[in-house]
Amino acid sequence: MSIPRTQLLCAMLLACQMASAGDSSAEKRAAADSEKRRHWALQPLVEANRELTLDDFITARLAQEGLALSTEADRPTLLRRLNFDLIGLPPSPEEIDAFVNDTSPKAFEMAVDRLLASPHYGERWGRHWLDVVRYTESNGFEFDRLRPNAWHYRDYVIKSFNDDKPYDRFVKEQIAGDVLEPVTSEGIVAASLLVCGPWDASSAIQTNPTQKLIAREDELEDMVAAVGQTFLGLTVNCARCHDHKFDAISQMEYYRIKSVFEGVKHGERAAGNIPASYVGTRVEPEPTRLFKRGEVTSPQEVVTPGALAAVAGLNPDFEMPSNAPEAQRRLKFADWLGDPRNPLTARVMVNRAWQYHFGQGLVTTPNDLGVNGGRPSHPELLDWLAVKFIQSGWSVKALHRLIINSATYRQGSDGNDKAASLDADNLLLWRYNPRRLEGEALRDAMLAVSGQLNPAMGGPSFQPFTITEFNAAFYHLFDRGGPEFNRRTVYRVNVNSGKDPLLDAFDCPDPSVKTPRRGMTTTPLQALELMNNSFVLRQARMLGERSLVTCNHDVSAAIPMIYRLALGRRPTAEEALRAEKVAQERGPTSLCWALLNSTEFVYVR
Amino acid sequence: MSDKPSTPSLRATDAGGPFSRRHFLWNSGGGLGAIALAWMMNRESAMAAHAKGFTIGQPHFRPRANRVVQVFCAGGVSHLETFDYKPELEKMHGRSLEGKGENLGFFGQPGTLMKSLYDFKQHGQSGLRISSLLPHLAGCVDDLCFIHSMFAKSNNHTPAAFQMNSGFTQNGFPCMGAWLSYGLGTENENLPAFVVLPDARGLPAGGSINWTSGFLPANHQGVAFRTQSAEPVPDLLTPPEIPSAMRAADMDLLAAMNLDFARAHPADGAFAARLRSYELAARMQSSIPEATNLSSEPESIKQLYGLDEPANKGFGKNCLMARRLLERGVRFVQILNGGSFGSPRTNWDGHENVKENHDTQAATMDKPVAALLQDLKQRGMLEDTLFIWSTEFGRSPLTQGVGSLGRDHHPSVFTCFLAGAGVTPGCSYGSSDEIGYKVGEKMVTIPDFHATILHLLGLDHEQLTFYHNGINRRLTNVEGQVIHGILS
Repeated sequence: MSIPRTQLLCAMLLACQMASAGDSSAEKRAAADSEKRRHWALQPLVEANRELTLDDFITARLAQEGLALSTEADRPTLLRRLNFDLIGLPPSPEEIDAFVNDTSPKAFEMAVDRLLASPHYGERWGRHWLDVVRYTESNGFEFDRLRPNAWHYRDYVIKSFNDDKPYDRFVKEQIAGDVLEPVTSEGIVAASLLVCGPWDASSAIQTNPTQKLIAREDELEDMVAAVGQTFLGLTVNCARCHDHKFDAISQMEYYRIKSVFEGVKHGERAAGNIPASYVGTRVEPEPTRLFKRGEVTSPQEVVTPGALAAVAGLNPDFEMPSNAPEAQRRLKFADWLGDPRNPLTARVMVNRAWQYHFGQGLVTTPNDLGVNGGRPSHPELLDWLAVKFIQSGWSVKALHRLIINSATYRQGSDGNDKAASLDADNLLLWRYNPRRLEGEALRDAMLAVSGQLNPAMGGPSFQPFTITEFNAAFYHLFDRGGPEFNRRTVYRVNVNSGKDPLLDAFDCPDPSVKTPRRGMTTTPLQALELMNNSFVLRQARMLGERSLVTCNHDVSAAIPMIYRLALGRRPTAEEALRAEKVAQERGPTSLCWALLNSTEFVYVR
Repeated sequence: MSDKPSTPSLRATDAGGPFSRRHFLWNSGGGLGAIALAWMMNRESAMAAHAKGFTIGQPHFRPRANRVVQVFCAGGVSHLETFDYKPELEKMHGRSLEGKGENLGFFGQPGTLMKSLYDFKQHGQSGLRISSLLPHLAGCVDDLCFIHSMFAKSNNHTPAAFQMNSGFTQNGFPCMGAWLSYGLGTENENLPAFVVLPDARGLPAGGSINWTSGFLPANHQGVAFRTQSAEPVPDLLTPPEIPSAMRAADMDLLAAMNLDFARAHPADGAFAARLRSYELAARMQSSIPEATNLSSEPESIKQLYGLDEPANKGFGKNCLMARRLLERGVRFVQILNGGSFGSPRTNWDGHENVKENHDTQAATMDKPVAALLQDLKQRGMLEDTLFIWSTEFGRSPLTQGVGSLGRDHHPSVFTCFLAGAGVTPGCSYGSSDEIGYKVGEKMVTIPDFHATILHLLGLDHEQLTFYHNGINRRLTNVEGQVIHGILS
């Protein structure tokens, strides 16, 4: 069957051509399809009144329920929140003092600017990105071998956030950076996104042709899934076996997008001046065929590279033959993604930023803005942010400023019975959501307050394990102090089967899972880790020693310092009395251990 | 009964239901515990609200089984050498295979048909056949329900093992134990809901990938016990350098701090949940060592499991430990038989010589598994415990290469068995073809197998869902039919 290559090529038409059923069935499908195409997320961005502020959207919606924003949080609380949010580390006592005593009306905005300029910002927000793109430093599956040169991509992500690389550029580089002129090492590394997930290396020695093909199709589905969910917030991968159940994505379109990535394979190669990096290899593939029901044993007609017709206003047809050079396909797809007329790209990213700032997105399903995902709590605000984001030249840092420099962000986190009875999940933002620190932030914060954090950035990951090989790789964890291991957690080798029990207990995701939003559990295994993990005990001891040394071994003087380091505040008189008694009787480590275990340390308000 | 995207569940806790009947114990006792308890009782309803969505906690209909033990034999156990009697294969011994379509072996060196390397005799009242490889299991045959028509998707170990454990051949999907923890919660909060007992010879390839909670919250993840260690769970015990009196006093200090904080912020159930998590942690510190300590077991029981025999010592210990964990309310215990792949073989992957391999492996598995079945039965536990014996795929009726004594992987038909709660005892379901190459009758896919297991636990496999990245995910994906033919 030949495929009509027109701009109006759409799933409906294809469905009609392929359907063996009669007209009424085709009509039904067409109606369903047109319904799917009317879905909110696919519509062009609507620019709201330019005069409005972010707070206007929030307060107007709250007012409909008879609610209002909470009063502003106190300054130490605010700075602690801001610090963890932007750089994933607590503020020092000196920074808190400076902020509390700064009478300038611009004090808050200046603190935001200072933190956005910190290189730690990229480490914090880069880690969020690595969750989404399922970044792993081992193959997973049976062999789970280490990818010792995968970290270049992690550094690329961190640097891109720190440099405030325009997001459309960031998107394009991760799809086709290796072929974007002028080709640079950085661009080649960027395209690692396509292959930074798990890979079944044993399929390479598989001799059964069908099974080999299935494994390859699984690999490609993972790529299509990562690209579709990360950039479009659509589960394009769900159309591998049949038209998408919920969204306007035909099975044909799945294969058109798959053909964009058909030439990408897992593996290491040189990336410009980098001798070896896990950036994937390239081949010129055979023309892509649709597989009936997704079965590799049922190849159907040849498809040409393309994108989604349901994204209105953009040409989904790349107008290239099925044997077009694979680089051309990715370049074209990158342009389609990064086009300001593609409403999904900006909506998805501003929603992600909102989620990391507030704990949940305006749409609570950040990888799925489709029909089966959540509805935006504030649709006009989402579009207002997306439009501003594009107008700023896709500046992620400008987006942060827009969100953070608002009364909505600065409000307190105290409860409110009336508001809770109307909106228990705080979707309307009547308060700031208190949040438990993620595993990485928790570990990094302990290193920071104990004075042991080694802030060295980038380069090979630290490996707190030994590796043995018995056909597969086995990771034997150890815990050691010292600068090599006291780096930020984003620099720990992120292997599938060598997970750290402390991080694991605190919901650090399985590296092979695309994780747009972390779990936030409270479990006894977390308590056991904080109680007994040797890393935690060591940081508790170091925090005590550090404070005693600074205070000339005057325990009474050390107590406020310990509190200020750990919690960002001075102890109350009652707390100071209790703490002094503990420190005198059992030593400062006991006090420090309790503080590192405390809810106040583990939570940001 | 599913986690819907429109009802986000933040800061939820693993704390299931009310906790009024529980004792509140800190290590040191003292007055603080009682104050904290009284305060926390008031927070009960808030806690329950937070738990919503993270653990469903209730079956959909009346369950036949309340808990599960799964023996997983890694490497691919030959159905032809164990449970699937094929007289035709004996007649065709030495011939080449024709007319069966594509060879599904991993290494692609099809040899000639090879008869079973063991004799098959009828056993028990049911008269079902088991090979001479497994004399102890042969004695249990009247309690077992064989499925001879199992079908796996992959001919490759790890994808196939992932499918048996999680329903999917890819990395990162929640295991059955995680699904059950999510769907049913726990019967005993002082122990993990999903425990894995790895083989003493080593972890399977991929290690913890094999018991991941995938996209389900981390509290549903399998907890792998280090069964050879005095500290079965990492960081369970107070380090020896910390005197217990000091730790007790430190715990009191921490409780006081956390109580102050929770009281100052009463709107947040998560803060109360943190207090409670330390109480549970303190209890786990004694309940886990108690559950895994076999010294109180009578000699007769230890002998039953073969703990006095070198071959059975390691795996037998794990089987006995499994019984103790099930007795104490662990929802799902997975016992792994066989370590990683590679040479020398430490699992059932008999590529070179099936007899040599299976003799060695069966010597570690047969007696302890039979003992566990018997032990559960004599305690009446088999009535509400589902017993699963499984492997990732079978082995080919062909030799792997002409003249070899080995068999390659074979996903297109193999045998597993179930026993216990709700399962017809002494039963045989489905069949392979005359030579054990393909499914003969009544194919059972892995999703069918999983649907049936969930059904026995009172869960509808189509209703047990969790929203993740656009899909209301199920253990059975979009497939699965309950095998009513094996239900009692």
